[in-house]
Amino acid sequence: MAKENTHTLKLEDISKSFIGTDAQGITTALENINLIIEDGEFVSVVGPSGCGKSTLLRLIAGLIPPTKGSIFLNGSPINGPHPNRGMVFQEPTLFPWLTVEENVSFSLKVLGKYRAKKDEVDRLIHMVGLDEFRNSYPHQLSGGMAQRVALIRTMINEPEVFLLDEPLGALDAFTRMNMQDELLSMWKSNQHIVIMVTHDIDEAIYLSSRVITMAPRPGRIKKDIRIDLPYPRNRMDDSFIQYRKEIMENLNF
Amino acid sequence: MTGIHNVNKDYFDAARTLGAKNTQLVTKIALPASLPNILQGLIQGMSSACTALLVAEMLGVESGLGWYITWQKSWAEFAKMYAAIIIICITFIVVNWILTKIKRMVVKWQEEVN
Repeated sequence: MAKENTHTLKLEDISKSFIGTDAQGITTALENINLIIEDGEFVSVVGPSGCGKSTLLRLIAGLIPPTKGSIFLNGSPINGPHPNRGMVFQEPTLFPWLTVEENVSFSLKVLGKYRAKKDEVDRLIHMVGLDEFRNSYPHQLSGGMAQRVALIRTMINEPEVFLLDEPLGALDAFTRMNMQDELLSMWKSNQHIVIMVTHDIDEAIYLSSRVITMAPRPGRIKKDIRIDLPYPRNRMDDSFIQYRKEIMENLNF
Repeated sequence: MTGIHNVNKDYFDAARTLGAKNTQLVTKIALPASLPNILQGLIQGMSSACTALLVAEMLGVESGLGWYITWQKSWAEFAKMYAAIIIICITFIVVNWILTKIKRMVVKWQEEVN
């Protein structure tokens, strides 16, 4: 038997229901999700709103428990949040009472690793070009800067799984394209698992090695598409457009 | 209590994914996030407490500035009465000013609304 891959995320028959407002009083957000994600994959999840994309991320993060089924990372079950599964939210959710530097070192401090990894804080702040803003408070930053801080605040733990919930959704088109390249270089430098929820099909194709489309009511996986294009990708390329067509058709547009 | 209740839930989610334990959620998230509201409550509470104290002094006890005002009024010593009122006003203003200063110092991270 071949040795099992060290970083594998496995979702086994996951269902998630919430107390809802319909006749039965239950909303099924996700039903029978089976998924295996290998180390080094960049997976994007696209689909209409209400198909349970964000719920999927929150389950993997351990913020909410599944109603049925289990999730495994490297063979051990997930029960509760852990810094080896970092999450970046749609809003930067920086702590407004902490400066940029304090926000980035928050995780090291609560984990008691601050002394050992202090240099890492400087390195990451420098990497995203925010040296001048290290002592600024979040309300003094632009949307793009805040989201960069949110990214490195999570990166500092070197998570094995990086969960991104529409991290670029609130940014303007130009900042967004720059941030996409930053995301790519982050992913390439540590080669762990990235799972990103997005509404933007182009963004999904530009970044991911794999795009998963979902359908709503109940939330389920519709199609699992591998993107076989070399990086950096060209948004105008014929094969790029071909992928876009395939995904659009799959989502019934 | 409402101060803590109003803290954005996302802060707790973010802190949990960053490895914060339950006690740290209280000390590092709930308390700092609700500090502006708590201080605002203190300032408002201080005003109502002072007012209540004055009224109580005028009615029941035989000491304090509230009592002094009614006492001097009954002797028709209006100058002393007004002096007491002015002292009360000044005390109010000073206490409020100090509390607001403290609030500004503690929550310097808040967006300035001037």
